Amino acid sequence: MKVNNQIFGEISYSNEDLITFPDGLPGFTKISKFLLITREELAPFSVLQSIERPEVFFVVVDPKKFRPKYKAEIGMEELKPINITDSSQAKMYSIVTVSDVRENTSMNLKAPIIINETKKMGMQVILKLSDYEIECKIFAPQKTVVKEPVQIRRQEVELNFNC
Amino acid sequence: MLVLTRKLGESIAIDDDIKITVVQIKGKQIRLGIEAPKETKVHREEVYLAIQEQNKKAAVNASPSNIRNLVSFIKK
Repeated sequence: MKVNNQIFGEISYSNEDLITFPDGLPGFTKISKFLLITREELAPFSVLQSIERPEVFFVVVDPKKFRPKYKAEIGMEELKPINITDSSQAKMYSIVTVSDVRENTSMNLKAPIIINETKKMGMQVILKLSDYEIECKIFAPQKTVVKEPVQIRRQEVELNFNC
Repeated sequence: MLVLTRKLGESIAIDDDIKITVVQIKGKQIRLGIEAPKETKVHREEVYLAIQEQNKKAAVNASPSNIRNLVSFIKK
């Protein structure tokens, strides 16, 4: 089968390549079949292409490429809908909001996408326990801990944690 | 909308497996306890709406020209 992507043109795929999002994604709950397209020319980003609505696709990235310390706290129970029983089965992505301005390019750390690669299922999880940013500016310089009074240092650590 | 009056400590049952309890009342704030199956998605409404909006924005912004830019941004 084939789907037309705005960036890469016509893409051939077979049914076993498709990733099923049983509940779609917030704002896109009626679409459930996606193709994850990874191409060298777009690395480290990938494209999550909707099959039902070919005009819809998301740019996604492993959030750790830009924020190595990112840690999404997700209970195993929450991942039941995509049949994940062990965290090693889960591959994590963030949806990227691209922009014509470099500094405005962001990724959503509050609601990562989890994909079960063996079962070919996915879902977007909204983190309840952590206060990560929905629009984490990926090219913004990361806050670093400097030798300042304790109060200021703590504040900077918190900023760093959220994005 | 169904409107029910509850006192502190009282609950509302939804189906067999969802229970919402008034845990604390403090001025204009009410703390609710929610017991539901783990697969039930419970979110603060404004957070869910913000994620919806961000997803829509991400899909709209994913234009070929913006993605060409993204590739050049990463090379900087």
